[in-house]
Amino acid sequence: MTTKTMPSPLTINISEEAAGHVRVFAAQSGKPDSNLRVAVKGGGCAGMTYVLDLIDEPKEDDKVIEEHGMRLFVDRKSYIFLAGTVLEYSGGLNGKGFVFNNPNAKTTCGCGTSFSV
Amino acid sequence: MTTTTAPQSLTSRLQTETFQFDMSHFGRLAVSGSDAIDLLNRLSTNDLEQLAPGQGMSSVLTTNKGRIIDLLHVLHQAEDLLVLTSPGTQQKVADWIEFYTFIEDVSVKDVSDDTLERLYIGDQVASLLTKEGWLSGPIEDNLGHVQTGDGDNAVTVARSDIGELTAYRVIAHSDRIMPGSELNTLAEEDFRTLRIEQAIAAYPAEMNEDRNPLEANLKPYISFNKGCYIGQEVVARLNTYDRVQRFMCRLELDDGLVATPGSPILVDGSAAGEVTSSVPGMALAFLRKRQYEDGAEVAVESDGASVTAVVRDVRPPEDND
Repeated sequence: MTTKTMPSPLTINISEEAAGHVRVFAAQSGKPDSNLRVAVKGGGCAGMTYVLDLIDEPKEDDKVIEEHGMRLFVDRKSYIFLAGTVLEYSGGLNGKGFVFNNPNAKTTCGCGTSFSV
Repeated sequence: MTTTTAPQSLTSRLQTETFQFDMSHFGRLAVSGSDAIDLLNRLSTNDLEQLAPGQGMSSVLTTNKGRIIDLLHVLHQAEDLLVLTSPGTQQKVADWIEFYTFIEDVSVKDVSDDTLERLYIGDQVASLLTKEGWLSGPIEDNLGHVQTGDGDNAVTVARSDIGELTAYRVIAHSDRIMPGSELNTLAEEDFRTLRIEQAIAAYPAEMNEDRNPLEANLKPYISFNKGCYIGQEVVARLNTYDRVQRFMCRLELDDGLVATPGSPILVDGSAAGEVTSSVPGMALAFLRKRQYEDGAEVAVESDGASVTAVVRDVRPPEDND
């Protein structure tokens, strides 16, 4: 049974299922002790695109969030566009993989990987 | 409707004579950092990833609704990108780039006030610039460029054709004495005439946030297979499903007649478009696709009078179907 992660407007949450998949990907990448870094970059159809990266230690000024036994690093400049986001995982044949449920996103592009605020 | 003397065809004159035009009031940004190309590629329509040092490419900066912010001419210099903007848009373009700079190594410096920019038009320009020591020989590719010197002595010479006319831009520090002091100079009005003859869209008349790049005939500056950029989904849909409703055309008016920008165009009494730029005898306008036909006659309502104008199809060749 997975625990439903409730969003908080002042932080970024990761669901238990998503955290589990991060660990799987980290192990498959040969970096089992790495952590997930989340950021935003300009581009994508709607204006901003989510960026996920596996790294060992936070970069300078990163916000560090601990949940489900893992550390989540968030780029400081991206944080304002991500606050309140819940990172979830959509699995299965028709799943989308990691999904950002971002309350700041006014519009998203068709494929869901970019958004505007 | 105002009547003045009809202009000579500047295009035909410039095929035999060499002119210069001061473009220093246009914008120039130095964009540097290891992610500069990647970021600009994600913000604009053309495939800038293909650029190698010494090459250049035009690319449209678009909003997430696929509307035009500006047309950029991007020169890939050795140390940075020199981004040439429309007059007065450099701050807006710099702000847009900086807004979308999050985790990237990118910095933007407005060098417009520190530099001069001169356009030289005519078949003999390369010879002239070579003779005066600014070039070592002709540049083959449009926006191909050479850069010499550094710091205050840095000079960039770029091929920058105006439609069918050969032209070069020279960009140098504001202390430099530019070449070709003996050449005839085009006034702003002459340049507008040339621009309309060659059907080149300008900011803000034809390029603004009410227009998409396809209707402003900027399709040659769009890559449809480069991947995502801001506005890509809208631009791709407009193109794929043939949803562009109007296109830029050139209007020819009887000798000396001037159609004021903003004048409506009527076909069979119904609104069909609007004039956006004009000089005596000619104008650029946006015209609905249904009425867009080379040689068709339309009515232009300007200054309380109605005159007949002839439509000229100036769309890029692939749209002439």
